[in-house]
Amino acid sequence: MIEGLYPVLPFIVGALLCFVLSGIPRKIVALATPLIGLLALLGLPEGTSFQISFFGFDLILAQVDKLSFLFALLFHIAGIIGVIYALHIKSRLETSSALLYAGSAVATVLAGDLVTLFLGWEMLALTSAFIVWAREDNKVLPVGSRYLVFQVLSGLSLLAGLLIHHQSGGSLLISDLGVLDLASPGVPWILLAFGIKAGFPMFHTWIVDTYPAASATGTVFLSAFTTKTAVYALARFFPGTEELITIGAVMTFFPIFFAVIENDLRKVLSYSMINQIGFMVVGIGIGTEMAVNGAVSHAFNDVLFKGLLFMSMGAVLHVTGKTRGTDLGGLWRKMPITTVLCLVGAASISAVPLFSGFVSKSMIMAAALHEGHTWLWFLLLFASAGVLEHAGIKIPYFAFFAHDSKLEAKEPPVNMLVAMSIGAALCIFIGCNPGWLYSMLPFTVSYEPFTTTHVLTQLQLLLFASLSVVVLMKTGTYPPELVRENLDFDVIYRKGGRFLGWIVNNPIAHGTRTISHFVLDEAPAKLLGLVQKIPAQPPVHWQMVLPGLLLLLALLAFLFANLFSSS
Amino acid sequence: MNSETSMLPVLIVLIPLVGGVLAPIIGRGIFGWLLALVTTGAATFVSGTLLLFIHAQNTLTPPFAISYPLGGWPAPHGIELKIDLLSALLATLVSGMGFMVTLFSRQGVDDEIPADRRRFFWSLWLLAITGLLGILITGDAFNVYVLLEISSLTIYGLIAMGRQRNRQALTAALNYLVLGSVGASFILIAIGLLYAKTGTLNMADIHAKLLLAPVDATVLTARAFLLAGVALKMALFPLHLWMPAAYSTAPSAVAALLAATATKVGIYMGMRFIFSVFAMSGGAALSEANILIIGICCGAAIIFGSLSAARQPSLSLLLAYSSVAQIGYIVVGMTVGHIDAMTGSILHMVFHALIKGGLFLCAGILIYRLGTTRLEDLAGLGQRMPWVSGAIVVGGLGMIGIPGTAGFVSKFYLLKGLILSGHPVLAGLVLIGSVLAAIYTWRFVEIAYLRPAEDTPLRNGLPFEKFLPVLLLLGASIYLGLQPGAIIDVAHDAAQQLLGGSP
Repeated sequence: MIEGLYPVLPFIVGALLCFVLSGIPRKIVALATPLIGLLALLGLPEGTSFQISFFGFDLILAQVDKLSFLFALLFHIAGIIGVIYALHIKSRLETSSALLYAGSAVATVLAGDLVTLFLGWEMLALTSAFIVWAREDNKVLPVGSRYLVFQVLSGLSLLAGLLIHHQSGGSLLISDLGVLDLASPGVPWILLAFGIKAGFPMFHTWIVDTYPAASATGTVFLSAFTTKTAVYALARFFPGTEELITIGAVMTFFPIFFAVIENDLRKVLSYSMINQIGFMVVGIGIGTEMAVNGAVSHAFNDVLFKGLLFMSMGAVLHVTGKTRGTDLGGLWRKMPITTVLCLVGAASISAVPLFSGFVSKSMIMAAALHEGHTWLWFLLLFASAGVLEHAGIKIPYFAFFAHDSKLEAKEPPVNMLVAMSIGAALCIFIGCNPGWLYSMLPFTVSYEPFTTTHVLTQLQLLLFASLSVVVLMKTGTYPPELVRENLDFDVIYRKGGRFLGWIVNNPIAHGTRTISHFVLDEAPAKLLGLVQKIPAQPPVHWQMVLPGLLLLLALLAFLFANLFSSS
Repeated sequence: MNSETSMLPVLIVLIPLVGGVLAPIIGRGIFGWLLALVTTGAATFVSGTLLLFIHAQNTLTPPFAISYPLGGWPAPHGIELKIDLLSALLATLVSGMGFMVTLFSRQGVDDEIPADRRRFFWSLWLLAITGLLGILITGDAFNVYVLLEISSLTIYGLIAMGRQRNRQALTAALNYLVLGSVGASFILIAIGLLYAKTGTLNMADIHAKLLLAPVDATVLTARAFLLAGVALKMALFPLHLWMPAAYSTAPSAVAALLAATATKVGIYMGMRFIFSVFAMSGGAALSEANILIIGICCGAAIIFGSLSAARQPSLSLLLAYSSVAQIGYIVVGMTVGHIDAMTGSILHMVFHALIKGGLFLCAGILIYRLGTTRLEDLAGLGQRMPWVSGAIVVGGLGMIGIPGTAGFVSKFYLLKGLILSGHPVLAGLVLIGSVLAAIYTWRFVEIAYLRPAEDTPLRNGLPFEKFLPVLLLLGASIYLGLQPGAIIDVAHDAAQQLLGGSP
């Protein structure tokens, strides 16, 4: 434990160092950064600390309670795993931005007031865009820009919301705020900001656009922080907001269909991520102690198992250069360890008992049932089956089993395996010892996951869902993968964007070009015509005559103004 | 005032004067530079001390000004040095800028001035600074004229010394000499008329006597001559024609010194005479007709200066025309006589001196390393000289007035004052000027960063002592943009003293 050190500081210093260092020293710094951050986090006192004054704002950099501590801890763990996983890469830009990115996520969840939260929020957006751009591939340039547009819109919305909120007399201190009321001014903007980052329906497109496009290592970082920061913010400010139940239910529901027909396995995982966030949003929307506990613990687990799955797909991408289901298959002979680790992740996300997903997801579902949301419960059940189908079966099946693609492959570098093993170990540990995670949750947990009913229900669900997949596969009625890119709602943005671009390029730019041509070229040319008529090397007398005349003119003007006007 | 500080006022002029006299005798080789450095450094220290002292006193018992009778002859018959907050602030600025530019210009002077002229160069240099500082601290109207001639004559000489690099410097110097002399004689005529009217040359005394006597044609004619003469000295459009030629052909050190200080002293004369001497009873110092004429000139200066800057072929000329525009801002703020506008005007004087001084020093570095400031030759400068071109961009941002730079603070006060005093049109012009400043700054950015680099070899490396002043000046402009509290206090108090009518 290190006391008196702001946990974000090591990340900033580490990022700077990683940008100038190279080779072994850079690896040591990258590894040490989240570890020092973790020690500093453990040394933080309960309550507020690190109050500074910044441009007239009193900022509270750190406010530790159970919720913020849990997320900060999670981000440090994710940072450590991510750094180990990315230890072999040579891109300074990616390492540095990844460290800064992790640091901004920590800063955001530790923030004790909305201004600090906003600053962290913006840093999160900027640094993560650089992670996207760090992949050496021209295709990521527009992807990163589209990503940044969404993130910046979220930041602007948050800024607008907190300004309106502040203007109408609201406190900016998180300790004063409690649960925000959607009816009060500015709050809808804040919810919109969180919603964009959490991937609410129609704002989810950046997730499925960006995560499959970033580098193998970059996606592991990206998947851990941005959306979970949004889940933290929702759990902090909007527990019990009824609207979130509907939004979350839709989020658990619609990605399933896209995930089934999607070919790019990392995109399947991105859809699955929206679906998992849906579970969390539902939990937050229900808002009882058990539901919020379930949502928060599910966020914790999701980072681990989704990270594990992204890591295993990243390993496949690293080794084979491919992530499309139709290109892969039969890799388990060549990558047995990766296969096993991926299966652990798949079992966790499918909520198989004794794996981590089970202990948290069932809490949300139990809370839904407990509060009398029966139809919601059924929907979530259906969504769970869908998760099993696309994340639990499809991912490992297409990548490692199915028809042998005869690709050249071997196990990924040791550091990748180590990182995945840590993730897998945590998944199993939490699945077998839920008490460790439960003890850190914001509210006291009186939930027992391993009752006969829970286990039996879940196993039935899993078995029948698996059975249906097998039947569909065998009968050849399983929906085929689309080989080309599927855009879903992004079509609207891209088509709309192109239309906007057309408007800007044609009528508007044409008009402004004409105007600016006149203002910048024609008008000054005419204004300067008089001066320009003077030859480049004017005779001395002319150079003095004009200023002299002007001086005389000025004198006359001032004489006139002083003598012949009423002073 | 205690005994240790009692000699300080006269030291401000005495130090550079002695240095200027000594320079031709001992200023061979590097000694001229060292002498100038020590002299300007000492003058900066003295004026800075006075500024702090006066500011502290002024907060206790406003309005506070130091009066120092030269030779023990009391005012109004003897010559009086009178230093109020504005004088002290600008004296610190002028001597400080002199120090910075001196620090900058050792190799530059070696490069551009023939060896046998260097000691005379340093002599003229120090005498010019003496004259400029003298104008700022004297309380005697005729003394102003004498010191103005001292600074002007030396400056003509300094500009002409640029002939080594550019023959046109001679024409530019001659041109400025003729015009400057006519302008100075206008000022002399104004002072003469005032003397005829009041029988005294002490500014405070003139002011007191003018308040008692009815306003008549003599006084008004004096004011007209003064305004015309001062407008030429501060290069207010359309009387700016001498300036771009002089700035772009003078040795780079001289250009930086002139841009940062000479026109500011011209503006100071305007402020001093308008508000401390001519101010009639009842507040409004200038009639609406005067404000109209000066306002039109300032507006035209802002628009025309910025547009011309965007069309210039070389960075030096671009900077010179941008100065034409910036002077428009300063003068417009001073003219309306509103406390906030005056604060903005004083702030802009200081900030513009820092920024434009730094930019001209950058141009000096370009001359030193590339031998040219032609924009065509600066393609890809961002790669070839990342520090210098970065500094130019930072300065450009300051001239635009991006929040976070000093330019924003002063323009903010200008706008506030112009709107509060009921001149929305002038406020609009200030805003348009900022947009136009973005255009000429962008022009540099485009050439330096978006065009492929030329591969003409650089003549010299980047000497630290050349870049240090640039760093300090532009760093100061950023620092003051972020922490403007103290300087706003000083400028506001100075504006209050000035508008309060006490010289």
